[in-house]
Amino acid sequence: MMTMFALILSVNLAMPAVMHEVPCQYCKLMVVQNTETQDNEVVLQFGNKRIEYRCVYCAIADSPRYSMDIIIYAPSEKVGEPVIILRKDGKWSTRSEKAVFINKFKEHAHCAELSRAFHTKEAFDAYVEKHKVEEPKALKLDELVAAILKPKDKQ
Amino acid sequence: MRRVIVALLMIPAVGIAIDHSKLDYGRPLQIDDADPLAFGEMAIEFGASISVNRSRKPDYRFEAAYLYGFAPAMHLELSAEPSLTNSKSEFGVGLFIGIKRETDKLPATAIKLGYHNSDGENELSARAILTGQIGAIGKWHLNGEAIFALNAPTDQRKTRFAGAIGYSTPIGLPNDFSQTFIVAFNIAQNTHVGESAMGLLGIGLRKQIGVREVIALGIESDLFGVVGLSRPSLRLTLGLTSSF
Amino acid sequence: MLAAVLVAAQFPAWMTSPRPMEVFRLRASHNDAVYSIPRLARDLNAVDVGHATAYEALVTGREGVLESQVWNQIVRTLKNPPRFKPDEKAIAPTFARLYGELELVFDWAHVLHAQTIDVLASNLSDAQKEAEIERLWHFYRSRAPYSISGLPLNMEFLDSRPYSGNFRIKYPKVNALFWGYHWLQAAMYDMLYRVPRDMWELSYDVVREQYFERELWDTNRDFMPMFAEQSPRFAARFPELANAFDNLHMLHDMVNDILADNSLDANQKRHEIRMAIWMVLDSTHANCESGEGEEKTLHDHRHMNGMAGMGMMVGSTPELMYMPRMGWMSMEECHHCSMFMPDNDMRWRRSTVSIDGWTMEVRCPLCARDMAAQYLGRAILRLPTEDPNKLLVLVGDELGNYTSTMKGVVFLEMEGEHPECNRWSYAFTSIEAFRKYVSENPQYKDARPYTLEQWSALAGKKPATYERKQGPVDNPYKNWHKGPAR
Repeated sequence: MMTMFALILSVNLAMPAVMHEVPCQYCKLMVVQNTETQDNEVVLQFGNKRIEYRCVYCAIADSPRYSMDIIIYAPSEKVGEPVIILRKDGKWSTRSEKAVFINKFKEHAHCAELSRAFHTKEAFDAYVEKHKVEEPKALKLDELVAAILKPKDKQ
Repeated sequence: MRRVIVALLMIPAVGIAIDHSKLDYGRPLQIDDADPLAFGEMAIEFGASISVNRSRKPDYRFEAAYLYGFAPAMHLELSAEPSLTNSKSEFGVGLFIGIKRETDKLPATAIKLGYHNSDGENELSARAILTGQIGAIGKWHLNGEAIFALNAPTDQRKTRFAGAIGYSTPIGLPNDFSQTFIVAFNIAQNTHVGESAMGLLGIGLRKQIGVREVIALGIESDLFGVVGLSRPSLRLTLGLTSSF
Repeated sequence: MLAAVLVAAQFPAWMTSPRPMEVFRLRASHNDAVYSIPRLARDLNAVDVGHATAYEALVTGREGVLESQVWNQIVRTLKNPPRFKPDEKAIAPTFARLYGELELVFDWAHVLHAQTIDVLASNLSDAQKEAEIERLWHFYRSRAPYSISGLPLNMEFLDSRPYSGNFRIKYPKVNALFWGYHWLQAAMYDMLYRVPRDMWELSYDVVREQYFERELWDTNRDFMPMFAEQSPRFAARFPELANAFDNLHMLHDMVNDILADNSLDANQKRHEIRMAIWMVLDSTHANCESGEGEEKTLHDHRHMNGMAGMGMMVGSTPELMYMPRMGWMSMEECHHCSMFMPDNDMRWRRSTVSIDGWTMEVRCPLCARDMAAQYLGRAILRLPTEDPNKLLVLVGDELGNYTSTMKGVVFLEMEGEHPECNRWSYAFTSIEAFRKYVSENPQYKDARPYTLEQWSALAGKKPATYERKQGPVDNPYKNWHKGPAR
């Protein structure tokens, strides 16, 4: 057990590698692959497992299935520098103090581009401008979690 | 009278001996079904019985048999039966021939040919066997046998007939798949000329107790027949079959 | 062409003869050794009950309650399996009476199934087991006229009969049970093949959990589980057996579909069942060769490249097949890094990973570990060591931590390019073996020996060589039995 805690606390700053193009564990659509200019794959890590999701929404929405501490690597505006979200002892936190999130998709076909993380509000603004997102709203982590999880699911 | 029973007993079990649903002659009742032993299968069988008579001491018997499916639908049987009470040693040889399996229209059919020797008294026998489905999981069985005494004294029949009708069904389904209940009625002509036929009713259970072992437990009682000192009134049988 | 082949079918004499002709199994010391893994033995006993109970219901007018009462009854047995192998004829007397010739084929193939598992679960050495399985296969083929072909058959052809798909559409829950049984019967081979005895029970923990938590109830499965998908190591070594078992399982499917086809009367059902038997019989394909044959016909004996123990699947080419739950696959390449797998004399260097109901061959321990890390659930990794006769078997927990009974195991992992991955990712039975390898391969002189715990926590980079396979359609099984064939 101590080993597990040690592992869970040793957070990588870079996105862990996931290999295969697989369906999202939550929405079952194929995970959009990283490109040279933009990361897309969301990785949820616990123990030695690295489970891939299509967007931040999917990873958080699926998080109640995991009883242990988890780390979510959310793709950001910077390639190879994900926003790291932690859930430790049921409490959510992020390593990026200024991180904000977009969560504006109506159908999961668009979740990968419209449920993402940003290290700064400026990066968020640039993204919504570029993608012409209607009524964009920058969410803090607690707002994002509250929007996604029902009260009974929050851990 | 007793010779009739012995003759029926002495040709031992047949078929896929490990199956608890398979009827083995003498394991525990005196009735066969029409399934031969599988080609290549061997089995050994042991049986012990006690016959309780109204007017004499119990008769203990022990039997051992070896069966071998030497060809498709055919098997050979060798059996030996030393009596523990009167020192009479007996042995028999049988050939079981499966003629047809049961189909949607006709029952399974087999014949069994046997030779039996008991202290110099030689007999040949031929038995016809039918087995068919009755109800959802039950089986009926019909045996008809002719026995030819090769050196019978003048007061005994040279040819006599015997028959049996029986019913078997698995019990315990769908929770228990290891046991079969059997009931059988036997009728046979007396060996002695002028004496009437004897009827016998038995119930039994065959139960799988190991990966390749089946035990058989049965009780039989005569219903009618000659009243005499040699007449058994009740017989308890315990058998064990192991195939390999 | 198809019609000509089928019309030309002449049933062998034994098929229409009512003569009893059961054959007993090969007499051997390993018989019933499966009981050394008691839970597996009992679960297999329950499979026999499940088969027989469903068949009896189908032929006695109880098909209306097949998905309810009968399903419940079977599930009760699966959860409370019998101690001993049941007498299927006692459970399904009507089925045995009506389709005696089919019973012969099923029983004889089931004997082969049982005896090969007995061999694998016995105390024989690995070499003795391989020889014994060869002997069993020879015995199976030569002893009875109703043996099933060991050639790869085209599954798309066999599953394109007019009646195909009936059963899985009408009775999805019971069909899921059948496919669940066949999943177990395929998965158990690699669970045991060349696996050290002390890992059998540990491995069966994982297999059994998957069996009871998913495989028995999966009504969304595209196709029946194929042997080489579940036990690729055994299928590569014994392709004829793998094919025979797939052909047997396909015969089960065909019979199920025929019995579930209400447009057929009793005589037509009997004829179609005999035809289905004939199509998979060894004697029907007597002059055929593995790897040859006309595409999508009865005598299409092509197989997947790299896997002679697997016939052509729906929509597949020899290069590419669609694997349910996994997508398009090449059987020749590592499923993690897409590099060609070691073959022929070096085939033993392949690793496998089993998780989430599938088993994949991969090229090195890193590929196995990292592939398993990407999926939920417990995994079994089977990794070669420096000794061809010592397979390292790792059983994982939900967190991806691995355990093994092989003491002293160490790993080399000095990550480089994946064309060399089976050189820089390596499992060793001992530190001495590690040092010897490093001394013979000075490019790894700086490598440290990882313990199992350390190695379990590592994660490699995404292989630059990985290439996701694309088939002609997304999923060839989609609407497979809603098209012209029906």
